[in-house]
Amino acid sequence: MIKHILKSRESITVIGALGFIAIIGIAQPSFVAFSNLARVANSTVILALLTAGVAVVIITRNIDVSVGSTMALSGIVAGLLLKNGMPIPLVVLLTLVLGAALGAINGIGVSIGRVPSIVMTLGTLGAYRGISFMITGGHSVENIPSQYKKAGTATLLGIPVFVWMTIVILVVLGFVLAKTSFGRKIYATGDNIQGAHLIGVPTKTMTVTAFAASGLFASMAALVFLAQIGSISNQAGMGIEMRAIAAAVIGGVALTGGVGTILGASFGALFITTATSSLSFLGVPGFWSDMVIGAILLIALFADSQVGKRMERKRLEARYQRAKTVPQEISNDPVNAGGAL
Amino acid sequence: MVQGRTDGNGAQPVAVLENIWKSFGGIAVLKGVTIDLQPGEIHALVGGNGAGKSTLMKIVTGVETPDSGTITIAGNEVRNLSPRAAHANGVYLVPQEPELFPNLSVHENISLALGDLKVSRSKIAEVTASLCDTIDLDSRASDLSISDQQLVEIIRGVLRGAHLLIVDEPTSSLTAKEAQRLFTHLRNFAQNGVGIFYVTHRMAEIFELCDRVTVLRDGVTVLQKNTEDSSIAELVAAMVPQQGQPVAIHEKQTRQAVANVEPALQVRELTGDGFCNVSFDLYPGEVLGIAGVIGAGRTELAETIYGVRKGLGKVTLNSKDYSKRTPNKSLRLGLSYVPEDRHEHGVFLLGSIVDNTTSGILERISTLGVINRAKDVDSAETFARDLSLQKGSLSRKVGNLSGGNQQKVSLAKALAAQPSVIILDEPSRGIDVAARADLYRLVETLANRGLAVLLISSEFEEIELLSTRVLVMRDGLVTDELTGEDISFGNIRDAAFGAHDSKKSA
Amino acid sequence: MQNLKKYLFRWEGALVVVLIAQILIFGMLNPRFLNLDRLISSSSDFVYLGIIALPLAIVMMTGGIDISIGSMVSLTAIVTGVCFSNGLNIWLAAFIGILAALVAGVINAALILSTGANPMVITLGTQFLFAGMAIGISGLANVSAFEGISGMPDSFVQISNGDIAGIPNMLIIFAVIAGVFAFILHGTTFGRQARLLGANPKAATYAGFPIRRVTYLAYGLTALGSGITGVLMTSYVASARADIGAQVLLPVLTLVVIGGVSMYGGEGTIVGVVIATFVIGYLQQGLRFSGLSESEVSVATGAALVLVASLRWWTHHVAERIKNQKVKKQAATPRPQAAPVASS
Repeated sequence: MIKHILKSRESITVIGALGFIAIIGIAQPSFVAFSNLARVANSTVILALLTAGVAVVIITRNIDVSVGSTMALSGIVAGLLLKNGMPIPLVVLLTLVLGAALGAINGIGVSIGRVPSIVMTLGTLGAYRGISFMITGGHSVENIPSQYKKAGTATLLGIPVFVWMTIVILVVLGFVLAKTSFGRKIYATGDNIQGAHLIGVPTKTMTVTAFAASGLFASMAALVFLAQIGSISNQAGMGIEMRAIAAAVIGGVALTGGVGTILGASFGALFITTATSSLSFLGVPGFWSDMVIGAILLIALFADSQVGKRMERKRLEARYQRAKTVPQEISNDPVNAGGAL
Repeated sequence: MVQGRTDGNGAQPVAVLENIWKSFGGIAVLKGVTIDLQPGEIHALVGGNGAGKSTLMKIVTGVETPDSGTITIAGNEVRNLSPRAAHANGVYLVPQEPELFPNLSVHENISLALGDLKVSRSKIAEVTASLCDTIDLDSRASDLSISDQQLVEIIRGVLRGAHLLIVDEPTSSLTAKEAQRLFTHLRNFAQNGVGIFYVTHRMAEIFELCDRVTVLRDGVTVLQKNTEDSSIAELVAAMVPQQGQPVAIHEKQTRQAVANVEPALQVRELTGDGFCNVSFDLYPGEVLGIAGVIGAGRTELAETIYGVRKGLGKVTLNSKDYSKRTPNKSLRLGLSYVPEDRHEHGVFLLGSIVDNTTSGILERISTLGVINRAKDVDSAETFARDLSLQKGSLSRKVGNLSGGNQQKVSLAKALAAQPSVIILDEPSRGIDVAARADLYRLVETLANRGLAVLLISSEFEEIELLSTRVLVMRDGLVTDELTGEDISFGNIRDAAFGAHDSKKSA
Repeated sequence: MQNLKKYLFRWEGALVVVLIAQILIFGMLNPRFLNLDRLISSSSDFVYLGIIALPLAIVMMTGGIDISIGSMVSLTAIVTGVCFSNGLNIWLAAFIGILAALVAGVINAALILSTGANPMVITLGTQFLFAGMAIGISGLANVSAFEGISGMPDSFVQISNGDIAGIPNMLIIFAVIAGVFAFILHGTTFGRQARLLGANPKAATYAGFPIRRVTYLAYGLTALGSGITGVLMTSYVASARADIGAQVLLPVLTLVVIGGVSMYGGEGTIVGVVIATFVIGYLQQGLRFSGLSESEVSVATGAALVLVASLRWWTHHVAERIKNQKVKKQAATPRPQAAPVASS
C-alpha cells in the first residue's frame, strides 16, 4: 500500500513530464515530432547526469552545489588533454577519475572536516571555478579534435548515442541504489545516520562515496558537454547546480534524506528541460524559463507537503484508535505484574 | 545461528569493562565502573534515571568512546571501539528507542542490520512470526507502532546471532504476550552461551529472567550480586538508599487541601495520543502526584493540558473554560510546565541563564518589542537566588551548567511566568542529591504559597514524600487514586505495576 | 584581564586579531595597501554584501536559510529601473523596488510555514521564481541584458558613490544598518526569540514563542536587506540590471559563516558578521594588491570558508574532550565499589 504511494511519487513526476509533452504536442504538433523529441532528449542529457549525481548526495542527507564548477573544471582539463593529442579513452578515464576526486574532496570535508555540506560545496563551487579560470586564463578551450566531437552527433536508431549511454548509465545507477546492499547503505545513511552508525554502516565512507559519485557524474556531463558544444569555457555550467537540485526535488528526492529514486530525479530533469525548451513553441519568450522552473518546483513542494500532512493525520488517527482499545489489554499483563512484586 | 556452544564454567568472560570513565559537557556520567559478563549469563543492569546504564551500554557497542578505562571482549582488549568493530566482535545492542530507517521497509531494515550475514527472507519471516504475528515485512518502518518498531529491533538482534547481546528496556512498549516470547528467545540464547546485558527498570523481570544483577547509581557500581542471593528490597535500597538521601533530608509536611475552594485546574474526560478518559481536579495549595512507569501516558497528558499536543475533552483553568490551548496562552493564563526532557524541551543549551529564565515571559518584560534590560536581568537574578542556583555570571551558557542547575533554570523559566498551576514532569531526573533536596523544598514552598502543583514522577519515593493526593496511571488510564494514609511507597508501586490487580484476579 | 581573555577567546575576538594581522601583513607586502584613506574609501566595494549578511545571519540563527537573496537583489534593481524608465521619480521607484523585495520575503516565509518544507528548497524554488520574474520584467520592458537601465539622476548615483567628510556614504549606511540590526538581534523580543528558536525549536514551542511571527520577520528583514542592497548596487554601477544579484549568494553566505553564525542555528552575533565583512573584504583586496588574480582570490576565499567552518567544529570538539578529561581528574576519589561477584 505505502509502496504504491511511494512509487506514485515518482510516477507523478513521470506522468507530469510526459503529460506536459503531450499538452504541448496538442498545441504545437511540431514539438512532438520525432526529431524534436530527440533534440529535447539530447539537451536533457547533461542536466540528467548532474541531477543523478546530486540525487545520490541528497539521499545521504547532504547537498552538493558544486557540480556546475566540477563539470567546468573537469571539462576544461579534458578539453586541454584532447587538444594535446592524448588518446580519447585515456582522456575519458582521467576525466572521470578527476571528477570523482573533486567530489571526494567535498565528501571528505563533510564527513571528516565536519563542514556542513552546503558550506563545503559552496566553498568548492568558488574554488573549482577559480581553478578553471586559472588554467584557461579566461579563454575558452576550443578546437576540440573533430574525432571526439563526432560522438556528439552520432545517432543510433535516430536517437543520439549520448542519450542511449545516459539511459544505460542511469539504469545501472538506479539498480545499484535500489537493489544492492551498497545502495541500501546509502539510503540508510541519509534516513537515520545515528541508526546506521549503530548497526555498523560505515556512514563516513558512504558520504564520501556519494559525493565522489556526484563528482563522477559531473565529469560525465563535462564529457558530453565537450562533444555536444565542441568547446568549453570556465563559465560553463554556471548556475546549473541549482537546476539539478530543483530537478531532483521535483522528482521526489527529499532534502531530509533517505527518500527518492534515480528514475524520479531523471524525469525531474526531463520535466525541466521540456518545460524550458517548449516555451518558444508556445510563443512564450525564453526569458521566462527560470520562473517556470521555480513554479514547478514550488508546486511540487506544496503538493508533497499536502500529501505528507494527510498521511500524518491518518497515522495519528490510527494511533487514537489504538489508544481507545488499550483497556482490554491491561488485565492480562503478567509481565508488569510479576509475582515477586 | 549462534556459533559454537561455550560452557559457562571456567570459560573466559564474554566481556570485561574496567574502570570506565565518561563525561558529557564536563559532567561525569560514569565514574570508574567495572562490570563483567560471563557466557550464558543474563546480567541485569538497573539504576535510576541518569545512573549511567545506557551510557555504559553505548560504550560496549562503540557508540560512545570512554574517556578512560579498558574494554576486553572475548579475552582481547579492544581500543577505539566503533559500532562496526563492535559488530565484528559479536556485540549487538537493541536500543531503548528504536533506531530504524523510517523510509525503508521492515525487511530492508532487518537485512541492513545483518551486515555480511546472508539470511534468507523466509528465515527473517520465520523469526518475525515467532515474535509477532502482525508485522508485514514490506511495510514502511515509519508506519509501524512504537512497539512494533521495538520488535523489529529485537528481530535484528535475534537474527544477528551475537555473542554479546544488549537489550535496553525492551519491554517498556511490548504487550505481555510479546514480552514472554522475547524472554523465551533470550533464554535460548543464554543456553547457547551468549552473554546478555539486560537493562531494565522492572524489578519483576530481573528475578524472572536474569542470573546476576548490577545496580548503578550516579555513575558508580553500588551492588553486584547473583539474583538468587538478592531481593527486590535490596535492589531498591541500592538504587534509592534511605540514608543520606532525600527521604532523610526532607521531612514530609502534612498539608490539607483547603475546603470550599474552586479547583485551579479541572480536567474532564481528556483523551489524546497515549492516554484515555482522564479526569481530575487540582486545588490551590495541593501537590497532586501522578505516578506510573515509563510509557503510562503521563507526559502526553501533561503536554496536552499545556497545549503542546492536541486532545479531546474539557479543561478548566482557574474556573474559566480553556479549550483552545497553546503554550503561549497557558503561560499567560498562569499554567506552567517543566518538561520531562530537559535538553530537548526544557532549556536552550546555547542560551544564557538570563535568556532561558525570561524566555517564556519576553512579552511581559518588553515595551513595543524592546526588552527591558533591567527587568530581564532582575528576574533572572531573583530566581537564581530563590532557587539557589550555582554562583557565577548569569550570562553563562546553560549548556555549561550541571544537570541539577540546568533543572533549576528550567524551573526558573516556568516560575517566571508567575503561574497559579505548575506541572512538574520528572523534575528530579538526572540531578544529584543536593539539588534534589533543594527541589523538594521548593515544591513544598510553592504549594504553601498556594500554587497548585501537578507532580509527575516515576520515582515512587518522591511521589510518596511530596504528594497530598496521588493518581496512578497505567497504560494511558488513571487506574487508582490514593489519599491520606494510603499514600505509601508500596501502594503506589503496586498500583503503578498493576500488582494488586493481578493478585485480585489470580 | 579575565575579561580581555574572555573576549579574545570568543569568535569575534579572534576575527579582530585576524583583521589587524592581515592588514599589517598585506601592508608589509605592499605599502600602498596600508593607506588609511584608501582602506576607508575602498570599503564601498564590499560593505553592500554585509547589508544582506546581517539579516541573513538572523535567518540562519533561527535555523533557516535564504538562497533567494540574490534574486531579490535583482528583482529590486529591475523593478526600480523599470519604474524609473516609465517616468516615475527615482526615489519613488527605489521605494517600489524595495517593496517588491519585501513581498518576495513574505512569500518565502509564507511558503516555508505552510509547507513545513526545508527552507533551503523553498528558497531555491523562489530563487528561480524571483530571478525569472526579474528577467521577465526586463524582457517585457525591452531592456538590454548587458546594459540594463541607466540614466539615473546624479543625486541617486551619489548615494553609493558619494561621501560625507571623506567617509563613503555606503560605509555610513552600513554602519547605521549594522547598529539597527545589532539592536534588533540583541535588544528586542524578536531578536531573542529568533536566536533561541534556532538553538532549540522544540523548547521554543514549549516556551510559547510566536514562531510564525518570528519567521515572517526574519525572512522579511532579509528581503529588506536584499532590497536596500539592490538599490545601493544599482546606484553604485548607475545601472539597473536583471542579473545584478546573480553572484551575491556565495560571498554573503561566506560572511555569515565566517562571522561565526552557526549553520545549525542558535549561535552568532551581529558584531561577528560586521567584522567578517571587513575581514573578507580586505582579505580579497589584500590578495589582489599582492598580485593575485581574481580567480586565485576566489580559490583562496573558498578555501578560507571551508577551513574556518571545519576549524569551528574541531576546536569545539577538542575543547569538550579536554574538559571531560579534567572532570575525571577533578572528581573526588571514586567511592569504593562493591566487589564483583563471579557468576557460578
